[in-house]
Amino acid sequence: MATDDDAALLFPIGHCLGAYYDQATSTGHVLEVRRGLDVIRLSDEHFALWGLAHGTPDRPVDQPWGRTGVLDAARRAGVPGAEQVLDSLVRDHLIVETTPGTDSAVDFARRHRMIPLMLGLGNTAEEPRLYSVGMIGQPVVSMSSMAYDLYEWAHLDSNLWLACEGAAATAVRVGIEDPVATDPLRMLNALLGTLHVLISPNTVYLDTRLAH
Amino acid sequence: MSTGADHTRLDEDAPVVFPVGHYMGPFHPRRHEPPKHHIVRVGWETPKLPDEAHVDIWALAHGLPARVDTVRWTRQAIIDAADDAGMPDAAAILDSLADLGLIAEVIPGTAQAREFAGFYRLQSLLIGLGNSPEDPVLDGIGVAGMPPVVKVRPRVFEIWEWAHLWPSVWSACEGLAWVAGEADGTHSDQADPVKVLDVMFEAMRTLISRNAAYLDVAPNSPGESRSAR
Repeated sequence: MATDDDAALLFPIGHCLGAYYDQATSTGHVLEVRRGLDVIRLSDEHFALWGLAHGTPDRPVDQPWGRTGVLDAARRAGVPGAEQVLDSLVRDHLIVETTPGTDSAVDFARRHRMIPLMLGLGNTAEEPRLYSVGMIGQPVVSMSSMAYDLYEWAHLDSNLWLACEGAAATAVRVGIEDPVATDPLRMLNALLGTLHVLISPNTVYLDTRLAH
Repeated sequence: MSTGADHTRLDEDAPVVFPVGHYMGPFHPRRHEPPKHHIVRVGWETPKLPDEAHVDIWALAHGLPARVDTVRWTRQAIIDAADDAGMPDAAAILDSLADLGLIAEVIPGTAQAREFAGFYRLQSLLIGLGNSPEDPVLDGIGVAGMPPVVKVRPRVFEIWEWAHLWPSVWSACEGLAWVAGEADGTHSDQADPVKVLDVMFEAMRTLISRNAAYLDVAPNSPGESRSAR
């Protein structure tokens, strides 16, 4: 029987800064992630788990990416002590667990922002209902107009819930009738259900909310 | 006709040009139809690039990576690059882009530069790829699993990493200068926001020419409000 735990999704928080070697020919290094005003230094194991929380590009779009999926992927990748490493990343707020459709999802959205890391590449004459993002000449991910709207605007608000409320209000104002686009809660749940598709190739990242 | 030497002298006084906005691509209103326009998001507005010629010249305003380290990226540099690529009417299109708020001009080292820095903010794109044991000085920026789009010195990486957290380029200069002052003492050049701004302009060109960052309007700029959306 499915439980809330089964439906919970894991999301990585923070902007990847990369590996840092302090001198030439050194094998010693740390891996850094910026989250809000903090730079957090991670071990190889912690960085591997944080990376796996982004999702894997070969995963079916509709497969939820939660604790079980991340730990299975970590074991396949040979990451030692994966469960303990994951727990410590959750404690340090570098990975956050939330369940779409519950109060925790709205709380999650109020505490975080979604920031784009690539360019919008618009739609095409062949498929005008789908919009892609990527680099010039290199589309990476395609998405609905609603997701593209959030990709374009959400980071201007201080948190993701405000962004959903603003996008829904705009959709109502311009006469859109699709309830997923006009109800902020349904919009948020739809976004969270497919957010790993955007996060896994680093087309967006999640950061802590802005104070203002 | 001016000589090459005259040209260089004139360019030293000419404003440099930066593109403004986050590119959002072509908009095809219906299947099998050409794009109606290309969209750029600037603050809460979306000025439109009306045709491919505007798209091409706006792209050139970012700077050609092969040239920006040696050529001051002025209107003339863009017109020259457009001529080289066989793009006509670059001067008129630059005027049109300025009217649309999609390019901005600044003379680094002047009072106008300080005003410019208060009006715009720098937004970062892509992820950090770190350095390597073979090249521990330069930090990569790009896409996971691919060679870096650009490798930059630590001060440029610091600007890419942090500047977007401040609401304007100028407040980022003040903040980065304050941090440097706390670390190295207030006599350091890096503790002077005006000197940080000089570095900021170089960093902006390096990053923007590779689409590793873009300029947006600062959130408190005149006319900047959500109701514009």
